Amino acid sequence: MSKKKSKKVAKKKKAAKAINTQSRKSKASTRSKAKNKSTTTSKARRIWGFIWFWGLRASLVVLIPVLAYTVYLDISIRKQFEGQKWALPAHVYTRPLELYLGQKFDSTLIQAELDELGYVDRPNLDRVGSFSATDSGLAIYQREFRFWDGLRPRQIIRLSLAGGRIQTITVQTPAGEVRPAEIVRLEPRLFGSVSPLSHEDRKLLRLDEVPPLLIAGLIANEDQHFYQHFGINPMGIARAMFLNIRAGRVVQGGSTLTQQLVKNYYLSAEQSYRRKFVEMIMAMLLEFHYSKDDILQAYLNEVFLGQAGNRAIHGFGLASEYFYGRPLAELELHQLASLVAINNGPSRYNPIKHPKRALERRNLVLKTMMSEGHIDNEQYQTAIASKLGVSGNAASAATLSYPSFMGFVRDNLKADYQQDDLLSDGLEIHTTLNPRIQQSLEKAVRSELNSIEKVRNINAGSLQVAAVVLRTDNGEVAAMLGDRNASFSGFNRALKSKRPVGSLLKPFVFLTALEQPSEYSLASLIDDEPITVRQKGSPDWQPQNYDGLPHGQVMLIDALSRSYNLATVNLGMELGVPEVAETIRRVGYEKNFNELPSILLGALPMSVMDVGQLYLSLASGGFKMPIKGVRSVLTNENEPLARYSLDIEQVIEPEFTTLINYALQEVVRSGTARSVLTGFKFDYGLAGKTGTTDGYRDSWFAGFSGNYLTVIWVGRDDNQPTSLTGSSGAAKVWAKAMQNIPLERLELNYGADVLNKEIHYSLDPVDRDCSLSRRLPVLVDSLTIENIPCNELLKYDLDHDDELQHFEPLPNSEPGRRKKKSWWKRVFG
Amino acid sequence: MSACISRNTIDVATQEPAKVEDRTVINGKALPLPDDSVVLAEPLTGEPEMSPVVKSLLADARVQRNLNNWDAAANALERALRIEPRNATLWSRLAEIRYDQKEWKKAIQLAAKSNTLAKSNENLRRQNWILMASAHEANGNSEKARKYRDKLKTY
Repeated sequence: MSKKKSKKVAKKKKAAKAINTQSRKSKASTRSKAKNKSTTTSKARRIWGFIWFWGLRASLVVLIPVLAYTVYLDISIRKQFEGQKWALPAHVYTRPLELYLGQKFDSTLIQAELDELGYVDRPNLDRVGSFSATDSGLAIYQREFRFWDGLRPRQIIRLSLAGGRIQTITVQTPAGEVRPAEIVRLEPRLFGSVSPLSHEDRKLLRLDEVPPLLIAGLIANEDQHFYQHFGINPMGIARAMFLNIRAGRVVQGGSTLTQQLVKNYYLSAEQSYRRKFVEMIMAMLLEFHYSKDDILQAYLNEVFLGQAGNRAIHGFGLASEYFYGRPLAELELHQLASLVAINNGPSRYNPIKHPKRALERRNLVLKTMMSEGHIDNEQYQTAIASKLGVSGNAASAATLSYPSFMGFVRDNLKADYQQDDLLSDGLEIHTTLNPRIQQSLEKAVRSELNSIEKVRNINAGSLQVAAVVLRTDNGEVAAMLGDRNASFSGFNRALKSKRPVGSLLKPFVFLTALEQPSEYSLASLIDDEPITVRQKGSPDWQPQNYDGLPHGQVMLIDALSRSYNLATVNLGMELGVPEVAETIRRVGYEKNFNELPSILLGALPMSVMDVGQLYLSLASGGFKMPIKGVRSVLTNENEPLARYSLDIEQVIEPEFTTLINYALQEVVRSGTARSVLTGFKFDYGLAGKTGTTDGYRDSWFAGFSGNYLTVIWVGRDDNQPTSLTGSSGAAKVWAKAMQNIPLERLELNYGADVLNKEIHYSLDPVDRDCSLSRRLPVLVDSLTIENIPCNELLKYDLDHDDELQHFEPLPNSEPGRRKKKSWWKRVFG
Repeated sequence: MSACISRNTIDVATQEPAKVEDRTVINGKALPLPDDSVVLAEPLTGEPEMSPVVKSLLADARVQRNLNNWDAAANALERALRIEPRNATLWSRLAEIRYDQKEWKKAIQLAAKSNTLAKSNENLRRQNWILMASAHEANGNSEKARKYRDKLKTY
């Protein structure tokens, strides 16, 4: 900050100096003119004196404002020019794709990643930014990239495949040395920049990074005397004026590159003589202060070259990424010529919208380049024979800007950095965003919301969505959506929309119970009977079940998996609302809320991120961790600045986590969310919970596999009923998204304290014949509790410890595989 | 740039850890001896069931740790954890880095996580208990420290 301030002060001083110089000059001219007076006759002298006296004053009256205006222009153009040097937006990158030995090789995934990075298929790998794929392997000529942990030089990596997995990896260094490697990575993709003050976006280049042919083409076509003139080209102006007068309208500007640069700074398309005049003065002033190279570099970075949504593409660096999906240095002659053509008229020669016009203009540029001797005939012929080569994919990839996730990153950074540093210091932000998972999420939202609206006769487009995908092991945000239109950058529902979560809070009521193992187990019987809750100052509360019926005594696990409201409220009141509130706070919801009984049924508005934070502690096996969007930050000079480390805090003991997660798996296996299993090819042991609020206003689903936790909200912005339950709305989107994410099985930690118990029970409450049985994980401490059905049979087991088995995650596996070791020996031996 | 201090940038104490020659060394790390229990060294072969990629990242982490580059070491381990999140050894190594940084509470949490995944790996669980006991001690919680020392005796 202080640096910037001092810079400004220095500029002011310079400006003051400039004013002094000007006034001295005008005094000097007054003196020299005064000398001439003595040589003329007295009459003439008097007349001349009169003219001189008033003329001088008149000219001063005119001259001083002109001078003052020039000084003003000088200050403002230099401010603009200098300013451009330090106003560097922060750049934001996706996560890098890692490739390692033994990894399952998903060619479509890797292909998508290479496409977005602008790598081109060239079997001979003759230039950087190319790849070559065969059935048995993949080779990539990688670009240089500065990772947090070091610079990766340009290199060629070669992967060989066997059985659908990566078998070997070699790295060929620039020196030609080949060595084996265990792990390599693709560079992450730059997908956005933090510059909220304007929508201008650019990727700055130094002059030496710009291909000489681009500069040659630009000068040959726009300003052939660039290196000779002093900011304006009088001959050019004269010719332009002649042409304009002959045509009766402005057909040619005769502008130099310097003038065009000035024009770009003030981005007004106004074609007036006054503006032209100001432009000329400023151009000359720029040339007076700065070198040709400085001006050229500024020009290459400044000019407007296209519009992508609300993002203005400035400078050739970003334009190259936008139109070709690759760095400028990797472009071929015909592509460079196209950029020169685009520069002449960004909308007129836009190669995506007007390919024919753009092609003609490109060829004209190439012709000029040949006639000026920059390229030979052979180069010319090859280039004009080339197609425009603008990749629609690349253009759309360049516009993939993930506005919802970007909003989250911005919030993250705002907490740690000053706004000014973010806007101007050119920080390099490496995030956690996984473009493949984001793509799956966006696709699922698009297809499922449309189909739900169609099937249920809901007005098309009336449903909205908020969604987040988190990695369960480190809390990283893999994907996020704050609107059903993925490229919408307005209100971000994922962070800002807070809606009552309904049954999503039930697991925390049941967890509070399970954490008292000598009182409750998954098999404990709970009263699903009507209850009236009396509260001071508000009417009595009589919650209802979804089906309107009480279900009598039900096992705790079933009360959760079937989402019974009465059982939950009975249990919650028995435990105490403050105890449940305490669990909710401990597990991850740290905001203040009133500890009313209605929180037992989720009358607590939360965002999908809040819910994500709560469920993350379950999905991670009992560890709370901050949700992260940023992995690391580098400075403008690529020096590592900060790393967001993996910090965890155990908030639930492992055995209780196991029990509650087992119950959440039951929700998916046989409870309210069993419909989500349709369409999954494998059994991932998915766990989750549905949520529906009064009058079907909010449809929620939060669920996880071993590696990913996804939370979805579906509802309407005007908070009107949608007719959707958690399972008919959000769960459908959830299932579709999860089906397209590479999932790992959720493995519960069945430690020595968790036993696999056969629980006997009967459906008839009067005649308790205990004829039915099911297996459930039960903690050692719970074996003596009274309210387990047919608990006398459980006690029988205590005397026959051979009957006791440790719980195995796969109850359907062969009995022979189960451990038959005595639990007494395990626990006490 | 002075304003750009991340909440997670760790303020590493400039002081070197005390040199102790007569302590048991596990993976190049001197651990304080518990009262009387014997510390089991890991087998020389290292981690028999480690995948090559995790082995390689563990080696990177070790190199960085020996150079006191804690952040770089943690970075390599976290990279490995993204590949094998249920690898108890990786969590334990990360706990050691936090221990080196005198981030006692963070070290204890990471060791606890390692233990929830360690299953039958007795050696690793013992290492984690030792670390937890020492970290609790360093953090001034002698009661908890004793709890983990007792575990070392009974198991």
